[in-house]
Amino acid sequence: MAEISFRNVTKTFPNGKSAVRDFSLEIHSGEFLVLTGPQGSGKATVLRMIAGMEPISSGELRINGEIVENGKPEKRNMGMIFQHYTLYPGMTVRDNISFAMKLHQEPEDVIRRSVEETARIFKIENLLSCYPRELNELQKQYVAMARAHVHQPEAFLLLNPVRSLDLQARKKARNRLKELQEEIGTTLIYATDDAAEAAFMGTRTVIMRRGRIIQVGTAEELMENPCCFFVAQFMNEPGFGSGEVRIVKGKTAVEAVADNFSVDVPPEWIPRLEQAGYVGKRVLMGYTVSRPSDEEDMGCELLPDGESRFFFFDRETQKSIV
Amino acid sequence: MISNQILQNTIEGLKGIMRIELCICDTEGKVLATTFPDAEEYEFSVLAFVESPADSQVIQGYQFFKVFDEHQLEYVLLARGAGDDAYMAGKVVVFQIQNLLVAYKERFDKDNFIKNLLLDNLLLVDIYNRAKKLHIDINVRRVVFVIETQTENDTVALETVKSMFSAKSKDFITAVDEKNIILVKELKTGESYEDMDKVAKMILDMLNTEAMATVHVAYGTIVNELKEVSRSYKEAKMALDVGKIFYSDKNIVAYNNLGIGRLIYQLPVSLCRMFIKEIFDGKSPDDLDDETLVTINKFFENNLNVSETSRQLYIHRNTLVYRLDKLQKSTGLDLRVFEDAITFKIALMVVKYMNYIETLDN
Repeated sequence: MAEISFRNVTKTFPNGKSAVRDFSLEIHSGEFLVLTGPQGSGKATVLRMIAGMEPISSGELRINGEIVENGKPEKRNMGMIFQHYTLYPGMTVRDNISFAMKLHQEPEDVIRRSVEETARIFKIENLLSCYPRELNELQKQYVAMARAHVHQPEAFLLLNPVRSLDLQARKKARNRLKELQEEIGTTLIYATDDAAEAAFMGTRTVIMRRGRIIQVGTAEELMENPCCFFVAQFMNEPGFGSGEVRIVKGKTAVEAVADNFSVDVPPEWIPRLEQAGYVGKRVLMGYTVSRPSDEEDMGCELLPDGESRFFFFDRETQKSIV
Repeated sequence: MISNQILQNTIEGLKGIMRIELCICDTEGKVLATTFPDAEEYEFSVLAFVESPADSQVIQGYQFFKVFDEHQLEYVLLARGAGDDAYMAGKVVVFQIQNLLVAYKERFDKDNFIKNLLLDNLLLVDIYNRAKKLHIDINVRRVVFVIETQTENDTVALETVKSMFSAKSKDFITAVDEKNIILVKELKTGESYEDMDKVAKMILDMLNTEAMATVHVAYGTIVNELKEVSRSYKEAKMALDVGKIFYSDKNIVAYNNLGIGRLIYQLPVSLCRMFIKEIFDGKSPDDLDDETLVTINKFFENNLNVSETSRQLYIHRNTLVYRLDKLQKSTGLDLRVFEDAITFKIALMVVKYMNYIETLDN
């Protein structure tokens, strides 16, 4: 189990593009951490830096308290599953799992024991002599996970691992992953660009944009108390709407007024807006319509009144009004 | 040519079926594989048998057979027993080994053929003749991938790539130098560049996660004929180079996606020098401080939008304007003007290219 700590880490490529900026984060031993953000936000680079595939440009990266030097990914012993994984088509599941160990010339009996132990954990003992073409996508996914697990990694790094599966299988794979993490207790970092997935995992979530950490919290916190417009929108899609409104204080209620509609400002927002001096001014308003309760149900409909969530942001800074 | 391990596995397998002890020697009497101990004792008998005109013979209770590869004596096989059974079994084993030789030769020849094809060492007529002999389709769409590893002779990476594509024998995997693995991939009907991008991503992800190897993957254009494969290979090599110079943030580079980098890569260095002299008047943009370079890159990334750039750099708009003014004073180029911006952008790329060429020269 690994404890991973980033301190002001940046990654700038030789052509001047920076993928990760001023990244500071403590990942606890045995933690299940979700890393989310739109494509190109630097999630993959963070994982690759942990794995040792990408040298860091500045800052400090510690694994288990020790500063790690750049390079030598094989010494870090990280189990990885990236989005475009594949199984070796000409090999049985057993050989697929043990192939890397064989290449590294581990003793035969160690390999056999590790494969059997891993197969037991992933409940794929009965598939060991099958070929990949005989497996369904979910089984393939389990084999890929077993392959990453077989050499007892310090931590698991997963990058969009369930992207290739259909919705049903995705759900199963994610459930299994959660169970497994509890069973084996390994540090697990799960990167995804799908906010719904992050919400599903329900653990500490880091949201990134353009290489920076924007907010850290449970997915629920990020959805309900976003620090800025971007987080509100990203975490509440699909079913997020926004527009500019003017905050107007009437006799009975405080209203958010736009050209063609007006809504009552929810009571918890009134003191915030008043204290920050936004009454009578224009602000950016975000609101949610109902999120699909389940993934199979992708239709969205407007929630009945009162269940919609509202957010108010400063127009200039796009930060949440507190 | 065939490894002794394979020979050993073969005769052990056959012994398991036929219950007859077997041994294979080379033409100098050296034992290559055997299922019984003390096979070395028969060295002299083997040498005598090699000299004799007979194809098979019973000596000291063993059937001796000659195994030919295209009329050239390759091995001597010993099968224990003097009766008909031993003779029959021996014949079966000889047949099996001869077929193995043919298969191995074909594979070896194919590898050689592809290497020569990639390196342009073949005449056009040879390509067609040899391809026909080796059962390689001529008019199939193919594309060449070059996979560059960080460490030389990375056997783990090579084995990983081989295993990924081994089930499809129509793809060739070979290495022409220490750091590059080459994959000549046959395309199915309907497969396009998008699919090739997926293949490249798959190679990258697999080598990262399985071989723990940091690699760069590049691929050329899709070609329709076998003789054009070398072109796709050269393009892939070039894409790898161009990627290193201009797109260092990318691990996958496609030749048909190189953009302006491809143009600059073809320019003669003297022309580049002239251009840089004209723009920067002898000074090098490398002399610009990091802060200015970051500012410029950000400004370009944000399509010359001043407010967005200053927001992202966490600086005041006026600070950015001041920096741009300062740059205009020193270079005469106002990046807020499209013409000047594009000149500056190209100049930066040309400088990168020249720096790369210089490192090659050193």
